[in-house]
Amino acid sequence: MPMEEKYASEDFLARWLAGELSEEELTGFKASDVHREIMAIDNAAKSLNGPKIDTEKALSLVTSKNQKVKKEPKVKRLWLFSAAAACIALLFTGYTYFYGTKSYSTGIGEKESVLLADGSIIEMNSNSRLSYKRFNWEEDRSVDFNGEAFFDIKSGDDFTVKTSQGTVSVLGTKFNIKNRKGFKVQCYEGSVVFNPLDKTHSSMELTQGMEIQLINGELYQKQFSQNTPDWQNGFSSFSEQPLSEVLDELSLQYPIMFNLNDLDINRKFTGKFTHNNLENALKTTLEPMGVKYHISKDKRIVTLSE
Amino acid sequence: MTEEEPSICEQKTYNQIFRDHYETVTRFIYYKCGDLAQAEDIVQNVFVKLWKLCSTVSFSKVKAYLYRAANNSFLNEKAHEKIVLKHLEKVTPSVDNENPEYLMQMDEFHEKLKAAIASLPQKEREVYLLSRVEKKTYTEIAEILGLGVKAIERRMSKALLSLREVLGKELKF
Repeated sequence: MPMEEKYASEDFLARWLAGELSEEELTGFKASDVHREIMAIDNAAKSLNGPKIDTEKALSLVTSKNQKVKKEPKVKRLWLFSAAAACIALLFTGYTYFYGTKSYSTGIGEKESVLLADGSIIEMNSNSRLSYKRFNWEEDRSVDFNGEAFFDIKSGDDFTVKTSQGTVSVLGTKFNIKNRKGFKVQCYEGSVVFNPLDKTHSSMELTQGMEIQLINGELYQKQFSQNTPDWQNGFSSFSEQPLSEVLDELSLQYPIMFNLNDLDINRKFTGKFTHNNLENALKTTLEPMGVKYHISKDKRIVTLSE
Repeated sequence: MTEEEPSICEQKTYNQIFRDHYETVTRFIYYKCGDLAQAEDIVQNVFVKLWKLCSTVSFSKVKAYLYRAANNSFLNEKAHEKIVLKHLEKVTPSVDNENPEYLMQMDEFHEKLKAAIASLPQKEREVYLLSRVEKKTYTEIAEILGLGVKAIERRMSKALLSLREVLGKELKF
């Protein structure tokens, strides 16, 4: 029986099981004894049941064994946790390294010197803030700055100071920036370039002994003769400047507030005051201008009158 | 972090896994070794080990883990030379108005069938029983054994041929 032999072959049956037989083959096979016998055996087999297994009994057996086993998992857990923690720490370090900024700030009456990586020194006057990006700083020397500071910059590539009024770029020099209510740059050595944010002004180059001031959107240029900014010597000086600026400067150097009482604050003042004695400072500024003053007991509030 | 899966270290989850898989895995091993006590032993040890390693096995992979671990422990045990599938039982027929003579013949046939299945090579036997008794699809069996579906179909057809060879003559129609 050649057909029976064909049906009773491993290949043919495998194809049958996979459902790969043609219609014709299937009809032929279904009519054969091989198919009949296999189906009869299969039917008998399908009526067999697997062994009876008592799962609950096994579970209580295993549970009691488990209780004797000292669990190690906590250690593995910790492993996972420490790996995760290490990853986070790494990310954080990476982040601060690439995107982090370093910042310094001074409060009322404080002064601080900051030594930068390239050897430049920035001496900050009171109530000032300096920040810069750590990453690749020496290739791109730039700082954000607000307040007043004296910059002693080591020569090298461009050094840029960004302020709210514009940027000051230098190669290597000494200069002072005052960015309070008014904006002032003084060049003490070498030369600096000021690029105003306000584009109606063109950029300006300052050489030694030159200063520019930005007052109400106007640029004024002047010569000056000191070798260091007055604030570094412990006092603030004024020439023909309104009383309001003097009072602002006083409240930067001393933690005080002024009670103005309708006082005319536009009168001009020329002179200076010291940074280390409040009574002296008030005396030297206010008395020449004919302003009476009274200091509160806690030395916080100064009340002014004509 | 990955999505939260239930931790196998939780007793509740562990018990759930035990109830879901203990029986099927034990049967699987039984079909290999033909010794129910041995199969239960192997699978219980697998579960004890699972408890120890609960934090390293993920919940979604636990089924595959159980089958693989049970199979590995089975391979480490000394194989039985001759097996008897005495724990395969016949389903009691729901209709009992059959010809007693026929029933007796059927009983006799079932005994022979069990002997024939028991004498199949282990690889064919496990596939045959997983399919016909456990009613698993070839795809499921392939997953359990870590093989392709084609290999399962081949083992299955070998088993069918062997059984027919032994039992074909017994069949009276």
